[in-house]
Amino acid sequence: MKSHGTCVSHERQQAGVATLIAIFILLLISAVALALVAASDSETSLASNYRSSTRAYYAGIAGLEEARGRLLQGNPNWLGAFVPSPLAVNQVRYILNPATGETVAPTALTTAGTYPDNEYTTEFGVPVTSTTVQTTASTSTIAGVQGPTYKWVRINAITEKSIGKDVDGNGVIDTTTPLYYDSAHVTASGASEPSLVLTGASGTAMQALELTALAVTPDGSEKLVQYVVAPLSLGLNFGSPLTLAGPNVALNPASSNSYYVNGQDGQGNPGTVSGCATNPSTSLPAIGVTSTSNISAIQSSISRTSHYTGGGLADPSVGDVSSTMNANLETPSGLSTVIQQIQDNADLVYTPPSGQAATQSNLPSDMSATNPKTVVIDGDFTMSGTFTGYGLLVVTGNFTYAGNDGWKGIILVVGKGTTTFLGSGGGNNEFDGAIFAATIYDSNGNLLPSLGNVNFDINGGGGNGVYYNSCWINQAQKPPSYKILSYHETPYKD
Amino acid sequence: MNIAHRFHTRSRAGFALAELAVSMAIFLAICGAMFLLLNSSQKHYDTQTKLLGSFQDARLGVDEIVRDAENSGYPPQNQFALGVNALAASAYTNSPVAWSPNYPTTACLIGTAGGGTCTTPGDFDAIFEEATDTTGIVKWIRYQLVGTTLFRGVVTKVAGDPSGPTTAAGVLLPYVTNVVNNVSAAQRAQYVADYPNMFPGGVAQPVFQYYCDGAANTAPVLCQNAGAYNSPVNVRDIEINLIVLASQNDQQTQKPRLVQLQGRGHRVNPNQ
Repeated sequence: MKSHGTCVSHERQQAGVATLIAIFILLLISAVALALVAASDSETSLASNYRSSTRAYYAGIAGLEEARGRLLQGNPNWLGAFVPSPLAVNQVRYILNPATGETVAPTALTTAGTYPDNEYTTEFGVPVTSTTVQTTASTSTIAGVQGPTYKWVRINAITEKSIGKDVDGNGVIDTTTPLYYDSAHVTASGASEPSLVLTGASGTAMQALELTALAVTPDGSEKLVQYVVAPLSLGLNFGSPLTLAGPNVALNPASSNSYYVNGQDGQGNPGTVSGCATNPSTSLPAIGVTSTSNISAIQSSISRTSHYTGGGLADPSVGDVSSTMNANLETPSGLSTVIQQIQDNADLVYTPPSGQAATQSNLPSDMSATNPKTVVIDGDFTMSGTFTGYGLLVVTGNFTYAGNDGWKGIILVVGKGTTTFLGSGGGNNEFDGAIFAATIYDSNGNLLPSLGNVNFDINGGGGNGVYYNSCWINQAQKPPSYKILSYHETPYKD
Repeated sequence: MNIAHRFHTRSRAGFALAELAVSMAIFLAICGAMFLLLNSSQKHYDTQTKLLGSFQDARLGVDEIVRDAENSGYPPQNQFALGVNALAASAYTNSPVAWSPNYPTTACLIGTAGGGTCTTPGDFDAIFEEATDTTGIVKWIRYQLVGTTLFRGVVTKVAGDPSGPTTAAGVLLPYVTNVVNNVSAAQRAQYVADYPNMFPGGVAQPVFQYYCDGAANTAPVLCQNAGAYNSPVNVRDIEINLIVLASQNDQQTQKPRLVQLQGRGHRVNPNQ
């Protein structure tokens, strides 16, 4: 009993020391741990804030770029009729990009957590709910993998009110007129200054659109970024329905009584281009050249002089059009740049097998009057039988047709050695728009310092004439890009 | 019986003097060791805290400069059909980066290390042009390194050279302190020894480096190498490099602590 009591007392004595030491040490360790956690937290949070802010910026830019890319017809996810042209001021489109299980509703202006678009109210003075809104899904999520974390991109027309600028300087901020971008705008003082205008569409004025992207990262960083964009025009204007550019042009004109080359806008049987009317008061030389020394030789080679009309010139109508053409069409390097730009955005680039010419069977099967195509044939091209093409055709070799063939749009024949445009006639179709032929490469394919010679040869009968048509020319020129007119970041108010 | 038992229990439940003495001795021994360790950790922590403070200041500075560079050139002249000659100077931007002398009529050449003909923009001085808020009024935002302080000033754009308005009294305010990109050669030598990678060549390091647009379809190049395209109006990208000295030396080594932050601002707005 005694010994048991001594044992218990000894154990308790030991237990007391251990408890005290344990308590003190625990206190010490806790204090040190807390200090370390506090230090570590401030460092982590700093790095994380910076990363999150940068991530939100790039997510916003990614949203803007998705929308800008999908405005282009050549994009596989082209928005098409979702963004009609022109887009009315009270029409708003959204591309939505919710994360999995998330609701993104920019028009739910009072619903927290759905990323409401109150910025629209700031810009237009009316809520977006007062407009006609359509939405579509983003294509940034691929195979189930979430892309950039932007929530929505808004696409809308702009007005002076929405961008907060008196564009025409008349002292009134217009709230209803959509703004266009005129790449050939000339100010009242005569200065050439491409700019936004209120004058509507023209050959050089295209509607400006505003793209607004909201990006929100999972940890709450927000960015609202905006582009104003406008379709970039290829700027292919022609001074005549048939332009033969180069120092020496050999012309062997058609002998048929039904063959005409007419520089008045919209003559022949061109059919209609939806939403476009030709202007008969526009009249250009029937045949355009870039060297006056060719004029008399061409005129003397034409027997049916009254079939070559336009531009107020005596028949046969042949004139120097170099001063009215896009300057890029006058030099091999300029033409090379234009062709590269077209090729970058073409529906089809086709290189025929060596020694062979491409034919119409190589062209896109869905080409039509309402769905014109941009096609680059890197080599020779031959049309035969009965065929009508639509759009912009670039041939970097020789062009040949035979039979009931025609084209509505633009044909650029820009070849090697001596570019030859050969027609065998015999048909009753026609070419509406413009044909341009030039030589920019030597026979080995090297770019020439200046344009080479051209051979235009139409033999046989038929009425495959050439008629200037501004509507088909414009229809053929799909914008190769949407130019960014401005960018800025604005605060997001949800 | 009960009282005696309770008394006996209480006396055994407490701690004996010997117990306390032993536990205190052990505790003090552990504390001593711990404080030696903590002292070292505390010095390290102090140094890191000061470094973190410098890092945070510089990070915020770089972020703001990058944002200003990205927004520069807004609104561009293409937003006014009337023509810029009919507009107030504060309505539009002439250039993403303003310059001196001869602004805005004749653009100067951007150089580095004293080259070029621009007094601004330069290695330690940049003036951005942009509308910073919903009013659309264009501001000049100037960053200028004077000694070891990077100043920032914002003033409404007016007609004429930006140098005067942006350096008027009260405009430029200290923004990031202890910036050592351009300290004296003697001071720099001390830093170069410890941080040779921050001072390549042992020379002063530009805070701003400008990249100009060149011919179509080519990447921007350093403006001083851009030939005919060397101009403030062609500045597309700006590289920012801040080397900041922590406000306290390393407590253990007593050497200065430097932190370097870099950023790159890319202008999206078009050339004017």
